[in-house]
Amino acid sequence: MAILIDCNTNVLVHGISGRAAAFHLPYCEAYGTKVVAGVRPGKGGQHYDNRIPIYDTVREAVVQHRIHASLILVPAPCAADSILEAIEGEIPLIICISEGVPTRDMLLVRERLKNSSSLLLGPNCSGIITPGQAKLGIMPNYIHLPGRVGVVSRSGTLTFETVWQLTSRGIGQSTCVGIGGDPVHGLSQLDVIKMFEKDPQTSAMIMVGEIGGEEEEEAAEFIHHYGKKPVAAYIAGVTAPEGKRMGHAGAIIAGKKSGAIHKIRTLEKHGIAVARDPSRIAEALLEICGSQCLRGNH
Amino acid sequence: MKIHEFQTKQLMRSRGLPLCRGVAIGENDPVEETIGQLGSLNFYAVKAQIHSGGRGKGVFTNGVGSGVQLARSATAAAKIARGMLGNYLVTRQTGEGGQIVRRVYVEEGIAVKREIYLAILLDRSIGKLVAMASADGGVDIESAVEFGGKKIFREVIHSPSGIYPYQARRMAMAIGLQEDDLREKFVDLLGKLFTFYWESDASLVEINPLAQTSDGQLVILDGKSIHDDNGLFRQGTLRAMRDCDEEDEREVRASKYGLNYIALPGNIACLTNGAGLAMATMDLLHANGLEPANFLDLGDSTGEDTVTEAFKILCGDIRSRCLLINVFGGAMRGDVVAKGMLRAIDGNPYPFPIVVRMEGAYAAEGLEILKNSIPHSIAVKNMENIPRKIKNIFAKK
Repeated sequence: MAILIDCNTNVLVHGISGRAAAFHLPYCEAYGTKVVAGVRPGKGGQHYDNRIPIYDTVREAVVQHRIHASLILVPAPCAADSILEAIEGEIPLIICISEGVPTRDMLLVRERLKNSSSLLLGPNCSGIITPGQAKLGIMPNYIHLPGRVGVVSRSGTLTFETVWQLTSRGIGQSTCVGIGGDPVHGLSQLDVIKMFEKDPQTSAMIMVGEIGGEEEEEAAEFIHHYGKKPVAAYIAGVTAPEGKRMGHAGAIIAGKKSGAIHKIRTLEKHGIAVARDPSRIAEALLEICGSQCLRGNH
Repeated sequence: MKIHEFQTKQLMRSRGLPLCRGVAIGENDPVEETIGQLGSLNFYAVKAQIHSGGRGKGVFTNGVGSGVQLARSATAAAKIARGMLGNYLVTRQTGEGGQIVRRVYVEEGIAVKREIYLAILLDRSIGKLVAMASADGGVDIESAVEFGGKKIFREVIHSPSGIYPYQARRMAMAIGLQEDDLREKFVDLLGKLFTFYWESDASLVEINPLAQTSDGQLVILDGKSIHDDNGLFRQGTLRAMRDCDEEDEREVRASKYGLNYIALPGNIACLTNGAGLAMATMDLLHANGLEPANFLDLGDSTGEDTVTEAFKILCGDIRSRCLLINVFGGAMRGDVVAKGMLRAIDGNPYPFPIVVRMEGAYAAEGLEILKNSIPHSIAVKNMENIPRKIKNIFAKK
């Protein structure tokens, strides 16, 4: 497989009868994603689309099914609770799409995650896709192409943009991972970069970051010392005014270090090719490794 | 969300934190009578209430001095308060025009022996809260940290249990509160401060300074708190404290519709979806010598109403000379954006050029709608073509 998900991943959907699920699940299923069960308190015993069983609790679902991943599509005020329930159910991968989860709730989730066997993506993320195999997220289906570039990003639409630039140039992706735009979240840029480093199907990576926090710098340090695969990057927010929250709860410049320019300089110092122009993110990767090593499926 | 100092103190007082007595005075309140509620005091501190730091060093445009002043009598305090109310205070954060002062806070002034800095905030790199303290309070702590001049002590907080007494004691010792009595007062104060932080969904609580008085008390002189917008749904008291007068009018309007809008100095209105793409669009324009008039993220909403409202806000910006739509559909569909725009335009054609780049979910449908209904809209295929197209338009005029 690429990383984290493939065509054999069994998925449990939290909030399966809600609006977000109604909108996104058909596209996930059309892409080949194996949705095996759903959770919605009070609707246990019913079925989604007359096919997929719904349970009141995660505990009941994991007794009946072998679940590899949870996809959380519930309103933000209940999202942390869903994550905690999935952790208790020992679900290996939890993907939380919900936007607007209070930081306080996420601090509790982080404490619980520490002693668990679960990995968390998000919240406030676009999800994850292994092109040609499975999609647990809200990205448009057609923009992806199976291939060898791993993409990790804090932003949804900017990931779509990056992926589309690659696909338009005939370059496919191994897995595209949205880690989310919140200040306290699950897997970090570094966590995902490490997975791509180990993944034989990934030959190069693109890291899309933005203002706020120090995750990109942390990943860059690792890449500099241990990375064997070429990495290109883009950092959004060069023109963002200081102290303003730029849409994402985590995208805020607080002090000199979290600004875009500081990040870009640090990344460049660690040997990462940073695209200064967001319409040329794929070009930045092509310039350092050439299209030959990036084409082809395996 | 930011709130005023007097509001933060009101919340702190209700949790038993040590504060001086004080009264808030609005523009329509009787100044003398309200100050009279404090009784006769030796010292009064008069503090302008605006959502901006650096008030003590700020200056009023009408020449009445700084945003924080001391008085020796109620009459003098009233005179200062009157001078501040309704006038503009310029600080390092307000910009040249300053911010109008609609409220002042008059507090009992006390004799201070020593000033301490104390804060609780999120350390993103470890995903935990931390308490920070310094024996050198009262100064501009941000610059102190940056230049490494002052010693800052840190304790990592393990949520939700809060700061342990041994951690608070360790911190008290580090900042010179060795005496048993003072140290235990600090431990109690820090515990309560964490409870305040936690229960009010704060993202920053800062006390600068915390005063040690000559009679062995600890008193919060200046208190500041910022609260997590995402937690407001469960914070009724805080929601009622929102002061829209302190925020940009368009930003307030946008937030009511779940939009993230920030006004910027340029002349190209931007309608974009997703925070990352919105920022990248700003950066792209800027890198090509063009300036965005705003940041706009349509947010996670998927409705036409949101788009209609967003477009109305953009149209209300008199500086804009061009509209750029850069939408990569996911949750927000291209056709929904187009329909929402048409509804907003209804009867009031947009007078400036419209450049459209759409990709992703229902982009083809969206482009088709715009082409048929707004003939002067110009479609571009890729993001890299956006700056050239806009430059061409500006060159023709």
